[in-house]
Amino acid sequence: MKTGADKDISSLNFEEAIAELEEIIDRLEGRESSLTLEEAVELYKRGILLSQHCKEKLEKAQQEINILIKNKDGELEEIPFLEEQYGD
Amino acid sequence: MEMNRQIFTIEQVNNYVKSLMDKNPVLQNLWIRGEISNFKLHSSGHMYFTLKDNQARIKCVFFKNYAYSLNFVPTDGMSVIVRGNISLYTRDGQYQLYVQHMERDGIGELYAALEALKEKLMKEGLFSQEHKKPLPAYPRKIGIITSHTGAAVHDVIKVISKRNPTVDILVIPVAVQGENAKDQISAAINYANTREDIDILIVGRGGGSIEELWAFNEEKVARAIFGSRIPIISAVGHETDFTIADLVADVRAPTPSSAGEIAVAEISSIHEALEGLDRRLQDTMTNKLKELSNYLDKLSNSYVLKYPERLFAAYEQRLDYATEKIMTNMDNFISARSDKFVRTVSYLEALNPLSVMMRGFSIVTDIEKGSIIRSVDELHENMQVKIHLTDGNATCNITSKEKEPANENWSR
Repeated sequence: MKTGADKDISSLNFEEAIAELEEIIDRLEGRESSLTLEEAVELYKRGILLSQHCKEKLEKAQQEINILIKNKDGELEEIPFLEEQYGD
Repeated sequence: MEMNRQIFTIEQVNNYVKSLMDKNPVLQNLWIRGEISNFKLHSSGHMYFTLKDNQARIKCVFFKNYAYSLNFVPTDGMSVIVRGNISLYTRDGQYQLYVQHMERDGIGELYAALEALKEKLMKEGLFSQEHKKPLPAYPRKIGIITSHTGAAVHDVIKVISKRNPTVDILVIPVAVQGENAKDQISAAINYANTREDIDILIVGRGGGSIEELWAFNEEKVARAIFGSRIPIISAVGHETDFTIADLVADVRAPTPSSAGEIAVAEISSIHEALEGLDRRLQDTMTNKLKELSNYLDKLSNSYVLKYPERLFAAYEQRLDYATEKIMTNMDNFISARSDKFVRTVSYLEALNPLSVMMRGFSIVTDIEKGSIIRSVDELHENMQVKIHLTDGNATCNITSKEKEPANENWSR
């Protein structure tokens, strides 16, 4: 029953968190007869935390634009992709 | 001889040569195969170029009124077949081909090969809908496999960054045309699949001739796309270009910029979606609590909890009924006993000698023995007896006795 509910929220990525949030809402909205008040409140609390986590993820995310190159040793390396370095 | 000489102007000569050429039926309608070089599109709309092969070259002019129907833009290096007439440009004394029609050379074979490969891959199921992977709704990182110098990479990055500046981008640079293109593109797809962090791959390039787009029609690239665990958006050329890569890819974007739009949702719509989920979460919880509290109200308003005394009414009624019943039984019992008592009493009454005597009977006893005389046989003359009456007694002497035989039955 507790799909993913044991997982620490801070370790979830945005997509996992929003997917679990949707699942929780579906469970709360679906008149699941086996859901006790205590369980509903637990789900609700986790839903709130997941929602906050998603918002934080959106706000804190810093975009990285990299390009994969081979360095002098022939190893793959990611460096920032600066568009002005490459003309059309 | 010297006297007969006739001197012409250059123009006269050129005009004469031109007239010879224009009269020659062979030169009026020629098909020529060659490669375009020094191509120039004049602002007037006329095209000037040189057609060459390994042995020779010829100047060509393609006037606007013929060139307008071309469905491709001629470029240097392109193999073409042209039809036209040869004439002389008198000003320069330069003969040239006046092109009336131009078509791509080798395209027929190219298209035939393309169709054959398409047929083969289709039979294998590489294009079938059931293999198309859905795109994740909220990708964190997009891999772009294309030339790092072309316009395509710019367009994709610009679109993604504008729509959602939290999505990471990794450019995996490859040659998108030429000999190495198919190997590099397929290797890049395979490499991306060894990483865990890429959610969507965009594979493509900007517009170009069919030869330039050819790598995206290669079987090797098709198989790499098909084998990819990561969903792939193809973005090859323009709207009208349809390559095998487009058919195998999970989603086909008509252009590189639209690939960016398909891959990444606007961040505002993600915020909206999140707010929508928040609202639903609140609403559903509020509803749930309201429902529970309504149910609780309903329970406390229920008959038994509101009128607890009625819980006992039934029992009271039963008790009353039982009491009543037991009383009735008791009454019946008593009155039955009482009737019997009365009957017994009256029976006893009947037996009471006093009451017999009241009716006029008397009892005679033997004075000596004190016993009751029942028969004349117990009597003799001069015997003293006592007569008992209700209100007293008297002593008598028997003077005579007489037995009544008829009454013998009475004695016991």
